[in-house]
Amino acid sequence: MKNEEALAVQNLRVNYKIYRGILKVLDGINLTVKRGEKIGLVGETGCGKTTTLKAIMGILAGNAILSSGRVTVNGKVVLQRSAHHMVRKSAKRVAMIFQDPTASLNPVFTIGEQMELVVRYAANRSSSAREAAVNALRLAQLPDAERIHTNFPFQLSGGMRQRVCIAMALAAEPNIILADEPTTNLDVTIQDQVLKLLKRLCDEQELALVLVTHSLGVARETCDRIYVMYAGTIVEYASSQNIFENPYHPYTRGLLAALPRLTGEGIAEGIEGRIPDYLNPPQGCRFAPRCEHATEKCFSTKPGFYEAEDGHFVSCFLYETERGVASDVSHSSDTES
Amino acid sequence: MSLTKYIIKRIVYSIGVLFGVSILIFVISNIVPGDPARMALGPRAPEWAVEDLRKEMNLDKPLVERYFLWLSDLMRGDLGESLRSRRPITKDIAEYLPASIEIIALSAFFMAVIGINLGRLSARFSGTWFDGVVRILSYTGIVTPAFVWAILFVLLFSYLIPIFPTTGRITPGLAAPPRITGMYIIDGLLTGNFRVALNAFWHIVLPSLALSMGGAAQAARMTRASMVDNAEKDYILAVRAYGVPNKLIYRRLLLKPSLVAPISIMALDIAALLGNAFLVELVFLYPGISRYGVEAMLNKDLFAIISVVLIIGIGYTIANVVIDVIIAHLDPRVRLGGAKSA
Repeated sequence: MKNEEALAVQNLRVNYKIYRGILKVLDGINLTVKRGEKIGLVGETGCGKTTTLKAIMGILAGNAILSSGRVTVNGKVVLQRSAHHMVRKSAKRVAMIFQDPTASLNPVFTIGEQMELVVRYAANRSSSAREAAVNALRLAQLPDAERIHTNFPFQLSGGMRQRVCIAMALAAEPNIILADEPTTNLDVTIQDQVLKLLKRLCDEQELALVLVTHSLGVARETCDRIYVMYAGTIVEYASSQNIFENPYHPYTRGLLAALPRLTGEGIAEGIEGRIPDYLNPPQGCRFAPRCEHATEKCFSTKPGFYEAEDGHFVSCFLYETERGVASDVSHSSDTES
Repeated sequence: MSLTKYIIKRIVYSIGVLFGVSILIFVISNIVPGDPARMALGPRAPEWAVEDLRKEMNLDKPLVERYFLWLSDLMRGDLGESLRSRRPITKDIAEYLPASIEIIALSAFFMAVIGINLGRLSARFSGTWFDGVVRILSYTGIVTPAFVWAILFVLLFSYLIPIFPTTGRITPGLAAPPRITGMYIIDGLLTGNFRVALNAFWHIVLPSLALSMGGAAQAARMTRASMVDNAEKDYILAVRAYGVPNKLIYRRLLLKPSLVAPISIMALDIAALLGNAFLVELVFLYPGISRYGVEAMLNKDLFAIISVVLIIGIGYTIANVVIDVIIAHLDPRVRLGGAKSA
């Protein structure tokens, strides 16, 4: 049971059509989440974390093009590139928590009205929707759930709103929660409470969690495994501990070095350069232009995944010789159609 | 409780505004060149007769004194006498205003129903041929003056396909219902004259539709724009991901937060009809307040002008209060005054 896959994303490529051309944002994302597992998706702003989540939820913007890939939730394919178009089904038992709790609650309906809709349509329960909603509010540790049920979003504080969003996610009775930087818009003191709540709920109800964050610290505290993303690609994944103790990919190393420290050693160094232009992304490794170890090969060929240690995969030619291509990543098998 | 309080507050403000408006109207219409007494009596009247009329109308007194004389008359419900019809203006208005209210009420209804529904549907099917058709219709609606629609409708639906009557409030030969409100439809219904009520309704369909076109077109554009805008908000993405049906989203979850702008514009469009319906009333030979007002201005019928403009001012004020109430109803942030209960 525990080892079953709750979520599998295979070779996901998503482009956006804009006026100036085609933005090639996601360039073959692969990730798997087992039941009850908490993974972190870490990377800079603009690296495609939110696009990945939206693809899983089936709520990509109208100008998004799925050029390849497949998303499987609880064994069912919810998103797939078929012969000519993308097939999209709304994923049951997946819930999402958005970055900005103010924008993710409808300003003109009460919390109760909104939650009951979720209970009705996502959890397929038409009777006792109200009790289910109030119950979910209680689970999210909201004091006076009965009253909050009748409140409008603007009557609550930011932290309470995010708890309401968590409650709403629970009301969908999911087994996977996707959380898109759920604490970024909150006060520092409240950030911690909300994260702890999320983590505890996932543990108690054996929910899988995909936590998107740009903060490595948050990911380490919360997640079992971490996927590091760079410019629409996964560059490295391993258990949280391993990523911190033994980062392999030059980007991960840079990211860790960029963490400010409280010991007062001055401002941490960042990584030179910027995220590449998605209109014209580098042909080979997308990190190559910013990488100090880059060779000619890096510029012309995309690296595969190499297992640097048990369960620690790196997408970088520096580790090509280590143990060969990882078994669970196959770049060609999904594009048949 | 708070909604009632809110409405009362709005009404009290409105009275203050109307007081200011009355000063403005009075001053402007009195300093416009031309001698009302001379205009009323014609170029051949002897100077002493004109002088007498001036005295009768208090035109020989200073402006401030005249204003207060007029104001105290107004408080007693006396708007003065029309120089043209030689009747108390209150009588004229009692005759023309109800007719206008009937037309404006129906065109408000058309505006809201047509405008919001077209906007909602073209937001839902944005980018399709339907959206394109509505877009063209809306631009046509916005740029075409109401009287052109009026003529077009008469040609189409009165001559080519004779479904609707061309002119007047009621078919000649049919007796008007006993006067209660002055609105034929309401009076007809109240006194059980359903045939008369229906006949009167049939007469105002085309003029109301002609008047509503511009506002409906604008409301459709605004509804579509704000719905398309809000459709990308997280709260809509979320319910969509949870499998809430599109129909429910576009009818309720997305529509309600998107209505504030179109409704504000529509209410002002409706209020503007009081004064702007002139040409449409002319096409349908409909005895409305707008025609009365324009004729009063052409004849410099001083007190009639002031009264009509004041009524238009009241119309705008009422429209504003109504908008505020509707918006307060739609948007809890307005209704509950942003008070935090947590």
